[in-house]
Amino acid sequence: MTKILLIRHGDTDYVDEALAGRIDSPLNSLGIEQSLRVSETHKHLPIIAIYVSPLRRTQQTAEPLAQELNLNIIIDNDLNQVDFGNWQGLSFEDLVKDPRWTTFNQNPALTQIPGGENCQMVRERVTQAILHLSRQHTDNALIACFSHGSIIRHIVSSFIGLPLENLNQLRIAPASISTVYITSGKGKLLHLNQELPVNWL
Amino acid sequence: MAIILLIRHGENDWVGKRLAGRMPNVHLNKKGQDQASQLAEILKTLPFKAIYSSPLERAIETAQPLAQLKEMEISICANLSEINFGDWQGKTIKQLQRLKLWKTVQNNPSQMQFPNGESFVNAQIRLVECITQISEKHEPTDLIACFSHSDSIRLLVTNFLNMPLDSFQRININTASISSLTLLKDHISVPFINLIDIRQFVTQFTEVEKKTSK
Repeated sequence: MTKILLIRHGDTDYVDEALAGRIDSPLNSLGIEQSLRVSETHKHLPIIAIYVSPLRRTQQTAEPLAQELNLNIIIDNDLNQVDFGNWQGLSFEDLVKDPRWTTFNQNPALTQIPGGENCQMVRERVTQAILHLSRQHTDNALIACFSHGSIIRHIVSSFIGLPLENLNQLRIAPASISTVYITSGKGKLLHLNQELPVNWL
Repeated sequence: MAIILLIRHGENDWVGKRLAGRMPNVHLNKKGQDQASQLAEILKTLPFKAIYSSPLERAIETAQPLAQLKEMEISICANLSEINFGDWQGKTIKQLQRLKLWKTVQNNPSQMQFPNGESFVNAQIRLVECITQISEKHEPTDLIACFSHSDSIRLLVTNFLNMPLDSFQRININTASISSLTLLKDHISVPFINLIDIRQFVTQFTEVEKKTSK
């Protein structure tokens, strides 16, 4: 069995404002505060490896914990954010004017991101990435993966058997933790969107 | 239409050892009582419109500290109760693990009919009807607390996420944990599952490890 903590990066100026996608936006001051909180909560866990997406916001969120645990941060390109193509960088205010965006949010399988990544491919990419990590770290190893909201939603739904069209029923807040256990390729969901501090209304 | 918090009862001496099911007189132990008071502390600032509970003592006792702090009544809902495990009720987990049907419970729960009890299929229908009725009594922004049981909460989350019933064992629900459903006319979502007191986070990893290695 492999135990995987899926941690979303902390707050950036894009969160809730615009679709950052693969724009390399850094954490803002709230995000940095959250990264310290993530470190504080996790430093007593027997984490043996830390993986991040190639984007700065996930690395910054992982850094305090990596220092505390004296671990190297390993970049895994397959944990990168979805390629949002022409939508990348647009404000959510602008995006809601595009009917394809609404369709995409209701059922990502029904539409193609203009100039971007196909959602079936995203699911395949992240599922394979997690299976690969689980084969590398066996015997109840605990690892942490710092990634993005869409990516964590895809990972969780892939391993609990959630259809693609229900992807957006899951919430993944900045700096939240979701935990999956993988045993011979099958997943178990320990927590979804554990937020620190509890902050959900 | 409402925002619903699904809260599992606190610890009792049966958890992880014997299948309590609907047995009477299964009460919270000391740890469970502490969990119930902690839950009340965490939740007391939230604007609950109603508190519902399964009729079983352990659920009601978990709801009581919150109801007292908020000066609210607990409405008992028979349909929020634990699965009717029939002949399995009261047996030790060790005994049950030896049965052929144990594998069905783990791998094909949609096929499982507990001898002289309920099937997971029917239990899920009963629970979903119950939550739908509760939500229809309320406004979309109303916050409702429902105190229930592990399998019941998992069956509800599975249904509202549109997950296959056979996958419901993939979701973990701890004692005194909080999960949520927002049931709106055009959108249903599950903002979080199995939220636990963050101070328990480290212990959780060691506990699940023990359980899995058995």
